[in-house]
Amino acid sequence: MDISHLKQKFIDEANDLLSGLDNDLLELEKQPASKQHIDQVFRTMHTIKGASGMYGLGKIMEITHELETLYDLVRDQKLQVTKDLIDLTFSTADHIRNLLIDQDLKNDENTQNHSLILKAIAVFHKNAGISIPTTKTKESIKESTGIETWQILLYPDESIIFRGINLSFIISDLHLLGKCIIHSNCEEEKIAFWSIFIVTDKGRNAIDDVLMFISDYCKINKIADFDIFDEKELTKRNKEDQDREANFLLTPAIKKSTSNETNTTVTSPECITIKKNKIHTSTRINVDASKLDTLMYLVTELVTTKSELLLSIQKQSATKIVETAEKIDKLSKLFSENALNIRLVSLQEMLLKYQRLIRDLSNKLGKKVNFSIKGEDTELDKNMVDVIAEPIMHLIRNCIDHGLEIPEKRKESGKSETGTIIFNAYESGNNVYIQIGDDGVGIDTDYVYTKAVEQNFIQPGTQLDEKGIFDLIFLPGFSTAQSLTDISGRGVGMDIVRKKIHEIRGEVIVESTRGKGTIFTLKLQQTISIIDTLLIVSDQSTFAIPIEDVESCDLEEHGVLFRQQSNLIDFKGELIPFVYLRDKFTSNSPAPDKEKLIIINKQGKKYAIVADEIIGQHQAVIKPLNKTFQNIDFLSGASILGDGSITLLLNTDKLKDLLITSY
Amino acid sequence: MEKQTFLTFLLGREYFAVNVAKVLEVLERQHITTIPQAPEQILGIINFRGDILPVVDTRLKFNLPSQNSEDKNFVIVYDISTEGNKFVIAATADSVKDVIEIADSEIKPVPEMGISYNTRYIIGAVRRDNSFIMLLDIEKIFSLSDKENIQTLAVDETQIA
Repeated sequence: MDISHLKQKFIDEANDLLSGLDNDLLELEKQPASKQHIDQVFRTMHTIKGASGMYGLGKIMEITHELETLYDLVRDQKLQVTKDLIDLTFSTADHIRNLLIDQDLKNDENTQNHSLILKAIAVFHKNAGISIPTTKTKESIKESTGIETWQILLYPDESIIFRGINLSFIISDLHLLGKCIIHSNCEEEKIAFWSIFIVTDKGRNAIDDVLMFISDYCKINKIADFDIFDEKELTKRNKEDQDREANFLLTPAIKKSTSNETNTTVTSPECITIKKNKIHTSTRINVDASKLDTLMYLVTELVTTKSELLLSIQKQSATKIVETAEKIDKLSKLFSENALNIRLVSLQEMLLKYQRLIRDLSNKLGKKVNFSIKGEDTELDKNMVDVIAEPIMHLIRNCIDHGLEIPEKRKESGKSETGTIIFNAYESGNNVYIQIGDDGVGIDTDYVYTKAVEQNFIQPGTQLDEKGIFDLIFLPGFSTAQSLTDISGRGVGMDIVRKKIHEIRGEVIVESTRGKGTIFTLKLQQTISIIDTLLIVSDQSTFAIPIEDVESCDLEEHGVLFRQQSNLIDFKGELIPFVYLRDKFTSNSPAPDKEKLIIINKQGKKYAIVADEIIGQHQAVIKPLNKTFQNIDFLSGASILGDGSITLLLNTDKLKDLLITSY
Repeated sequence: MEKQTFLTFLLGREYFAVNVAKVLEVLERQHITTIPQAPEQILGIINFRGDILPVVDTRLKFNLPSQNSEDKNFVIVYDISTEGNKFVIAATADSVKDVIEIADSEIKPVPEMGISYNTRYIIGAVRRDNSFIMLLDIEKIFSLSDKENIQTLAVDETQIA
């Protein structure tokens, strides 16, 4: 069997475990005496240690072993949880993440870190007054009667993956039985089998219990009535001895009950992990089981409806066919709803990363920060979450670095020393709003204005309202920072934040009050692939406009529109510019006498699109336009209509820009 | 003797042939949705089995005047994906003729001079029924001239929900 599958699974799991560890450490920092969190850290180290040994990741095993020993001391109350210890554990976690990529310490930096961390751990050991144990495994073996040495030969094959058996948990459970030594036997770079030696006094039954689910792959032999490693009598082993195979009935119920205990760190029991791609972690999403149940129900419905349809075609019963067609129509809607639902993930996972970021940043900058989170259960399309992760991280960085003041200054201005960073997510209509904010200094509009003039972004004397000034911070290359820090202030960032959010048809709204703080609101669509649109026709082409951008529709005589060259119309007493779609094509057919106006309202700015006809509403499944057309930015995609023809989705933002440049 | 199967089509008065292994489908009388301000050699887009494909005006590649009319066009859909890189594209032809087998030994080199279009798209020529059929290197057609377009023309299926 190819070890890389299992190894990749381990790496995925280890990364999950490490994220969990970050969370536990943050909690532990708040309540240093929490037994629960200490145990959790200990268990995480233990699990990683066990599994890394199995895959030959010696360096990870070494370091987790040392740390595990430290936390064991903590558990025995021989060592206190201090900030230093938590810092060390954080850096170890980061180091393990690096080791997972650079397994053989090819990178010099990693090698250095490795020895540094080992040294730091040794210092803690010293302080606790205990020398580092030299044996590889920490379980003490009771020198009592009944100690036996067992050999387990484990022959994994592909099916072990598909059965969802988690080898690393089994290995860590084996470690709990007693001294455990694992050899992997490779043939042609693939692992043929593992031989595991266990020295335990718990007897055969205990081993059988642990191996219950992989008993099909195992051969268990008793090789001695004593600890062979003590006597260094390794040569005594005989692989082909006494084949005894245990057979256990595998039922999912039993599986669940035993795995629950160790499973808590990775996934809650009602969540199922869907693996789309074995290589990369970010392509895996956790799906609520109820959503999958709905999918299963829909599939069964579809299968019955299909046979119904076939039957009615056979009988040539027209009414029946129409009826089934309606049913299929309904089913397809439910299917698309369900599919979109499955893609939705909660923001919780991404928040972990931010908590860590805030902790590190506040330490570094000497600011006290309280991270207040609301609405972390809000769900968003997986793709969207991936896109917004980086912009949000940037906004948080900005809030801490530029927004929050240092504790002394906060005290002076009568605020509490601890600043607050808010993360607030909520749904409203079809949109999801995410707010990132701080209660710091707020944006200094005068300062931004002067800086913008200095950096030649605007002409001196330009009249700008508050909103206009806030818009300046999104200009590429614009920076207000007096000094460059490695956190922010290089003038790249805010423009990228806005660009990324625009890419997923979202908006960034800034609100800021001097001395009170700043709030960035991201207005996002929950899913990016299906939107409600208004269909219009210009000459021979149909276009779709996102319906939420449309304010109203009107009609006007062609002659009136083009009486002057100003391309302005009078809409309810307001002069607004218009875009004439026919201009974009070299169309020859004569324009109709009466043209249709679609009034677009985009962030308070109004303009009109002039078209021949308005067809009506269309729920558009957006397909990306080929990148050949990426320069044509006023089109943001295409959608296929019921008759198979294609309609182009207009990007109302860029269309507006087109108006400005044409003047 | 190695034999390969080719699809022949007509452009102007010239016969061309492409390896059938690269051809997904031949479509007739397709409605091509034009895209405002698109590059000249791209006629527009079509809906091919639910995917949006750009349509290349093959005539322009061979210095022939564009002659697109909806009632008599042919569109050939090519799959020239390489490993890990899906690349499906449509291109026009005046009319599609035949499927023929060509032995490797029949293929003759084409002189670089005396031909009104760029010979770098041509693998070689084959003589059939008193006329020459030019064998096209389809990968080169869609890559060489517009280097920029190569990576970008690929249909990105992952984005389609």
